[in-house]
Parts: sequence; structure tokens; C-alpha cells
Amino acid sequence: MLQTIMPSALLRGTMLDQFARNVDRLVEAAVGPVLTSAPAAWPALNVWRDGDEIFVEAEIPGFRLEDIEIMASGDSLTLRGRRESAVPEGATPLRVERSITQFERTVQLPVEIDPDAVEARLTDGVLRVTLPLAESARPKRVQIQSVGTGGRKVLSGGDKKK
Amino acid sequence: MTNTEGTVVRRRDGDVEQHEAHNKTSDVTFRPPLDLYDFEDRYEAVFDVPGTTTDDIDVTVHDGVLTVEARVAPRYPGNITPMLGEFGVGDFRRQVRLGEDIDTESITAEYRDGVLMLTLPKRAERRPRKVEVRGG
Repeated sequence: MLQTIMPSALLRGTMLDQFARNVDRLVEAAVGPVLTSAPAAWPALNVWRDGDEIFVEAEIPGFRLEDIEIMASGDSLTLRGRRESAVPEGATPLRVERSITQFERTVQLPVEIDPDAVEARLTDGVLRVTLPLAESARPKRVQIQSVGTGGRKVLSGGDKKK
Repeated sequence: MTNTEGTVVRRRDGDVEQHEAHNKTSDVTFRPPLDLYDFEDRYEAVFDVPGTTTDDIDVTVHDGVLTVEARVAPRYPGNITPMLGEFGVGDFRRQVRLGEDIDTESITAEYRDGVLMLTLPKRAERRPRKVEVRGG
């Protein structure tokens, strides 16, 4: 039930990616930051950061692993999917609310990620993509050095034993 | 077949949903999208209920009303503020009134890829039968 897309299956950004980014920039110029979402975009996305990883989650019921393609570049993620028409042969549709058979969505990431380390899982129609931050984007511990006279007083010469 | 509606609350994509008190694992209940197909010998009802498991889905028929309920476990760490939050995660519930031509004893269900598919066979005696006309 749990399937993993290995990083090797993920391709680096392409021209299409670049195109999507340009579109995002236009959108951004017109309506504000892209991360505030477009109303009709499908699938809906939840994006959050936990420690040194960004998570992107989407509900794409009815799409199988082989139906989807995920592209990651340094600062964007594109999800694509295509499946057969949902309407079975020989049937009269009485109600069709699950009509989406293909999608493409690009999300601009607020920090640099490592495209080679991206992983994705599709579990019961829920797609979760894990994007580790690029080394350059990770918080660094700063070494503190004490300088001058404010440091610890060094005791010397005490308790010497004969 | 028609929908049986309870109290209506707002849902993630602006659609309305049905909301009733029942055993829940989360605060919000969503009304899953439905496809309904009519075949010669059966109906097929297909619900999008991602993120649940076979054990967490209940399908019941009572007084001619089919009820689909699916419990969905929370998936997010509680102390995280999302950078982008476009959908909520919660249980699913939807009701459909069944026609009298359905054999409710023979309904079968299958869950795969986040999709629940119900097969609702039509009663044999209610199915239109082709009558052969013989020449004399």
C-alpha cells in the first residue's frame, strides 16, 4: 500500500518548469505572492516545514503511482498527473463529480531545497512529497568565542600537592 | 437516487457538506465527491475518500438510504503553521437514497487508491427483459 518514488525517478527542472515559474511571476505581479494559492487550482495543496524539511501534500484519489510525475528544482515543485477517463464503458452516468483526469500544478518554494534528495509517497490517494532543505538553506550553529577579559577566570597554582 | 442532507456546513473547496454528530476522529466532516453510473444489471457508486483504510470505512443501508462513512486520522504535526493550507483533513460522510430496483443484500465494496467503489446489483425480477417475438 505504501509506495515510494525514489529520487532517481525525479528529474531536474526543465523548460516547462521555467515556464511555470515565469507564469508564477506574472501571477505574483498581478495578485501578490504565489504561495497564497489560486482558488480553482487542483489538487489543493498543504505545504509546511518541519525542521530541515519541507512537506507538500495533495489528495489525488484515483491516480496511481504510474499516473503521476513529480519534478523538483532548487526552489519549485511541479506535480503532474493523467489518468483514464473515470466513466466506465457501457454505463450511463447519472452523476459525475470526480471529473478530473489530468492536472498540473507548480508550487514555488520559499527556501532552496535539494532536488536530488526529494522523496514522494502515494498512500491511499494521498501524495506526500518530502523536500529536504539545501545545505545552504539549513540553519547553522554559530560558534561563540570568548574574547578579551570577560571570560572565565583561570585558576592556577592551587592545591598543589607535594 | 437522491441525496439525503443533514445540517450543512462549509467545506474545504467552498462546497457545502453534510455534518452530523457521529463517532469522529477529527472535528470536521467532509462530503466526498461521488460518481454514479447506471449499468444494465447494476449501479456503481464511486466516492473519493483519500487517506482512510478499509477498516475505517463503514457502508450501511437503512430504510433505503445508503450511508458511507470514513474515518480519517489526523496527518499533521499539531504545532506547525502551514506555509500553504488549501484543504482540511477530516472524516467523510455521504448519504444516497437508493432506488427500489437495487438488491441491497448484494452490495459489494472495494477500496483502492483512495477511491471507494460500490457495486449495487439490480434485482433480477426488476430488470427490463427483452421479449423475443416469434413469427407464426
